[in-house]
Amino acid sequence: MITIDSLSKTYNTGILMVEALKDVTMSVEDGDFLAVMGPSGSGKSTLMNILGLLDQPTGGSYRLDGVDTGSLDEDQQAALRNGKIGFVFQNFNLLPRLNTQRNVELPLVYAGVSRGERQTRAAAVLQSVGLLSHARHLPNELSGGQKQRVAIARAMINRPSLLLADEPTGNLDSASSYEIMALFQDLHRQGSTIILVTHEPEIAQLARQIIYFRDGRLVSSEKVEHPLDARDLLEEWRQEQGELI
Amino acid sequence: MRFGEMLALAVEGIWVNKLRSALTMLGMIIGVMFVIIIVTLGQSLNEQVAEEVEGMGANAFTLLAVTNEDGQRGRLTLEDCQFLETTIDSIEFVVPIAYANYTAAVETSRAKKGTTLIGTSPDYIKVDQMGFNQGRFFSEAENQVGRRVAVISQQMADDLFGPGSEAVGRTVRINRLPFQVCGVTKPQAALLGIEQSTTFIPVKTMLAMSDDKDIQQALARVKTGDQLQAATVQSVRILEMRHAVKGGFMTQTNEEALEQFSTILAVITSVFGALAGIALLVGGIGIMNIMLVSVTERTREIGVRVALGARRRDILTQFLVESATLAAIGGSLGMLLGIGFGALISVILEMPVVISLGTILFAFGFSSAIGIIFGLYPANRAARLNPIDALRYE
Repeated sequence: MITIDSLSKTYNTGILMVEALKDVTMSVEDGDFLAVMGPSGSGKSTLMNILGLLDQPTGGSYRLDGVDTGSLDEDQQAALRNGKIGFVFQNFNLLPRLNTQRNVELPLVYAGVSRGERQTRAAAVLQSVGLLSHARHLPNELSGGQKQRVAIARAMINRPSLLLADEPTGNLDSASSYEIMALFQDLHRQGSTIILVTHEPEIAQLARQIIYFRDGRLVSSEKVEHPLDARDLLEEWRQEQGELI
Repeated sequence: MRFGEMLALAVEGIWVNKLRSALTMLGMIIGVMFVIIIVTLGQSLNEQVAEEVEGMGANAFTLLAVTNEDGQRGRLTLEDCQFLETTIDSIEFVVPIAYANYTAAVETSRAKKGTTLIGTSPDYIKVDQMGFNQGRFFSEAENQVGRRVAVISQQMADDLFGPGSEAVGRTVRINRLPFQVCGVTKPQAALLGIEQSTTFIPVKTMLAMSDDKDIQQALARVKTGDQLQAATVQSVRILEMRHAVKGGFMTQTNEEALEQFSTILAVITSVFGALAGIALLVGGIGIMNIMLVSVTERTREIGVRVALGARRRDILTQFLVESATLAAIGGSLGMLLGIGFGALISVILEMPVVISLGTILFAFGFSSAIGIIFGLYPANRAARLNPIDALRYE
């Protein structure tokens, strides 16, 4: 699905050159669930931006489903972002003026889908993340976990083949984090390819493979031998809380 | 993204910031309002003057005595009028017009009023069609013997004898001399709302009141329109011979007078229009300013939209539609106010109300265009935002 060959990204900040990515080569297969780990400034976010076609590499190539993304013009890249890629952000990035349903519909708006069909599909994805009852709520009326579930619904509505999540649990409490990870695991079981950036080793253990970045380089990759189930962790956590009380 | 949805989105954006949007629109509202008022009034005025000229007949022309290059002044007398009328076949009649270059005083025991005093012949009512509330215009016989009879306006009759009083047959003093009222005219459409209080007396009576035997103007009417040009040339030639003053006479057809008036009016309208245009420009700058603020405020939103698949032109169009909508709403409100005030002023000044579809379309199109032009820079700025920076913007 994704083939990256000697990818590099250099920023010119005006004073000094920053090499955010150095000679990264990797591939991601259909149905993979990848956790990307590494300290701040290791190049994780840059990688995600390039994978999401929000940023261009300064060297190397990135092929998505066999297409060399470097040869695409802006509109073609926008079409890929719209149809093939779903984004989930740490800070949710819901539009504050739009209610849940309209936030979820947004990608379909740019895909030119009619209003009626948008509503039907929005209702379906909201149902799948358990928030159909909150379709008319504005983002500021939702909890953090609910906001992230709306964001995931929005990322999924165009049935993208690739889901990019940049620290999706970074702003959430433990219970919400497990709930969100359970959603990702469900999506993975249904065949989605997921790449997730995280700081938390425990979250990373919920993926199938973990890659580590340091100083812009891909330093190691390991398979998660015994992936945990987020729902089990949630259950355990609830019991611990119960014992504390 | 469909245009209808863009529009709905734009209206939503404008509605969310009601106060800000209203203040931004104010510039457009005022600018468009003034443009419409000025154009409406200009057209009304033109219409009114055209109507008046029409009333005087397209076949009429005015004769004036003027000073030539050598400083000699032409003269016009009653005999000249008589002579032109009899010698030039194409001329139907010539009406002498003598007027006092001062405001004459008309008085009764009840009141004293100022008036424009005109001495003329009964043919005058053929070129200036006036209606009568009481009585009639004076007759040729009264003119010939120089009787002291006067035609006064309704306003004057009300002032001198009291509202609703019978005026015909009663006596007024004009410059201390007693005159008998023979007719009261209906109020005429007042030019620019200035009530024209004109008093008509026989020209012979007028001339007898002073030492001056000259009249100031003559109004001539030809039998058919195609004779007009020839008649003016002939008249001037005859008058030059009679008084031996070359270049001492001038003619002006009603058509020319109208043209002249229209030209002056067009200049005035353009000057005021340009001032209103500057107001529109300022309104446009206001819109640009607020759109720049809006783009900055919504930086993150722009980043999110791009990440979800919006193309640059989707973002560009979104902001352009918003600024054009803002301007068009302002323009439409200004247009309604302009039409309202324009019509109101026309009614107050007793002018015909002229509202042209062209003006309305122009105001709407122009304000939308201003919205688009002044929205271009902010919209382009939004479309050029780097999505990564935009997503990080706090």
